[in-house]
Amino acid sequence: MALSEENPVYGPFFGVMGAASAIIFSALGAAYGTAKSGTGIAAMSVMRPELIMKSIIPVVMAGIIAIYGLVVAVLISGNLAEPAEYPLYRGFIHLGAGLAVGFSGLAAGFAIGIVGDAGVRGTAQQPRLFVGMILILIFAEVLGLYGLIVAIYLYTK
Amino acid sequence: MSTSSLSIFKTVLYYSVFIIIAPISTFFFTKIVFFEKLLGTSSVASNVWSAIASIIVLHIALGMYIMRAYSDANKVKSDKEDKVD
Repeated sequence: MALSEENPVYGPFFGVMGAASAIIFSALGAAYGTAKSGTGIAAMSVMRPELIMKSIIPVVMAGIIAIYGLVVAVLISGNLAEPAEYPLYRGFIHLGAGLAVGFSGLAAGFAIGIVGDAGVRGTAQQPRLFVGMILILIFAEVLGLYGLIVAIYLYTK
Repeated sequence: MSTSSLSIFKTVLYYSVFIIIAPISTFFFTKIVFFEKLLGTSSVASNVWSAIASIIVLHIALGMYIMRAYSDANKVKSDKEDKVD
């Protein structure tokens, strides 16, 4: 074991925490988005069951947030190694990448949940709101995509 | 009503499975077959390009679902007489 100041035994801890926080916080945001917009869909579908197909879109977008976290967690997990081949610097990079996509996904999931809940309830009464709801959902989704871009950019350092 | 709800269920199920399966299979297919076997790129570069490819496929699938939901919902907008009070 060639452990040194650059390759301490706790180096991989940061990478593991980065991979874990990427998927944990993204899944937290996706779960909140699914649950919050799911209550809106359930309340709306009682009166307008023909709009189910349109109103599933917030749930799909919340699921995509979790896929962002999954991609970064898989990328980081693929690069983890023994402490001798894993410098502390790379651990910090991976922790930063995981936190970037995790908290961006959490924020995007919250936004998708609240917008989806209000959006599907409003679409039931005014169908022309649908385009506006989709646009707002896309802008919420893009917040998670920014986190993913930063995470992938950090990962290539 | 039952046939249309079955067809809506089939459509939603088809697109959900597609949205879940397509990015994951794209990631591993492009990483293992395309980048590492055919092009011989390094591990980090093949990981990153596979991730980007899978995210692009994911958004194409999402766009297809939104287009389908938009066009379908416009088609069946006016059959409200089967509402149960």
